[in-house]
Amino acid sequence: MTHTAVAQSMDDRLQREFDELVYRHYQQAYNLAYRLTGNAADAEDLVQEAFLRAYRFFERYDRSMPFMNWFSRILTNLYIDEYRRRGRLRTVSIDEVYSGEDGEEGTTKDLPDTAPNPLELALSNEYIHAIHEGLQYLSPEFRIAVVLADLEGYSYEEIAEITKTSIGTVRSRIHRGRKQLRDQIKKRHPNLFERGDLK
Amino acid sequence: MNCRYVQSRLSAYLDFELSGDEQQLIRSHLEECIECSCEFESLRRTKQLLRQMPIVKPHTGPEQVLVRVRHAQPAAPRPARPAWGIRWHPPRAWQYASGFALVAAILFWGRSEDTQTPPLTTASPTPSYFTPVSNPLFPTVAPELSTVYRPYAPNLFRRASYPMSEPSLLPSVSYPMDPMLGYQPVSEWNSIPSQPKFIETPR
Repeated sequence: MTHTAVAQSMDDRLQREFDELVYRHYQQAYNLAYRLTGNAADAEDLVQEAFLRAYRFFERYDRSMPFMNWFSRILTNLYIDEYRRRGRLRTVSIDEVYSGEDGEEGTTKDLPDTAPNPLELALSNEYIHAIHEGLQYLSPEFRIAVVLADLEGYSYEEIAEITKTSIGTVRSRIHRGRKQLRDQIKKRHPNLFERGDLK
Repeated sequence: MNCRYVQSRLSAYLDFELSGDEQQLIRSHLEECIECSCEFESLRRTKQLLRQMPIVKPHTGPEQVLVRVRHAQPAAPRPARPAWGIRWHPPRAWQYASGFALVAAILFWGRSEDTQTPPLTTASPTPSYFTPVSNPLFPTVAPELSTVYRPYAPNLFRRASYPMSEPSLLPSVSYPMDPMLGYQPVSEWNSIPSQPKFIETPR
């Protein structure tokens, strides 16, 4: 086998591995991007850019680390870069009534299919929107920390690794982020914080 | 353990991210303190709400990503770092300029001190402030020929000696008269007087 043929087969092997990882983690990556950016269009762009960057630097991926941890770092870095570049990301209120292109008045925006996991308790759409909107009020650093911890279920150590900060910083960001989010949700839905378990 | 301390750690407590002892301490505090337990309850509820957020499904599948990836080129491999640990960045060469300048200044200083003109005065046979000093790092003149080293750190920024007409902050030639010392011979004020002068003043 010639040198180029070896290189080619190596490339094929990496390519297949990468494809498999994309298929396996696309859903989770999109969910993370959607919660960070707050809307479907930006989330798709962010996910595509992040996978593209991951592919370009795939040779540097350390296999001892779970792919999603490595990929989350790429995605959150891209998100922060984009956030700073734009000043503030375009956030679209999902509740606002708008007039569609086809002239339909008084409809709200279509959200992507937010099919709930049947095992989880059903939050009404109204609450989901309130929480989603509340997340958008947080600063990007706090939002990343809260989303990684509470939606993606990462440990503080993993978040510190992903965001390249100390565990103390992660702890403080999660705490302050949750408090700000709680205040935001409480403003609109104080009943969610009344005693008793959720419906 | 005060409430402020406990409240700053409630999220970490909620996530089991504290040490065992600290978890225990906060748990016992929460049993006693209503204010902290209300705060904890609201944070617990916030986390609970977040965990119940549904997973969002994308409109497009991963195929679109893979199509884009097919056209992308992998990044160039990371350049190998030399064994001695310093990487030379041509565009950033100016960052090394100060280092080179310092080395050059030290070398040049050693040379320039020896070539400067000797003081024009010959009034004092004893070593004075204004005798030329050779750089001890680079003695280009044999020690026995060079003049006496100064006992203190040499002044790196001393001006080169100029001809007489050039005014200088440091007098390379003694003034004929010094208002502070009175009419003293030039040869005497090169050395610092060991005894202070007491001047009789009329009462």
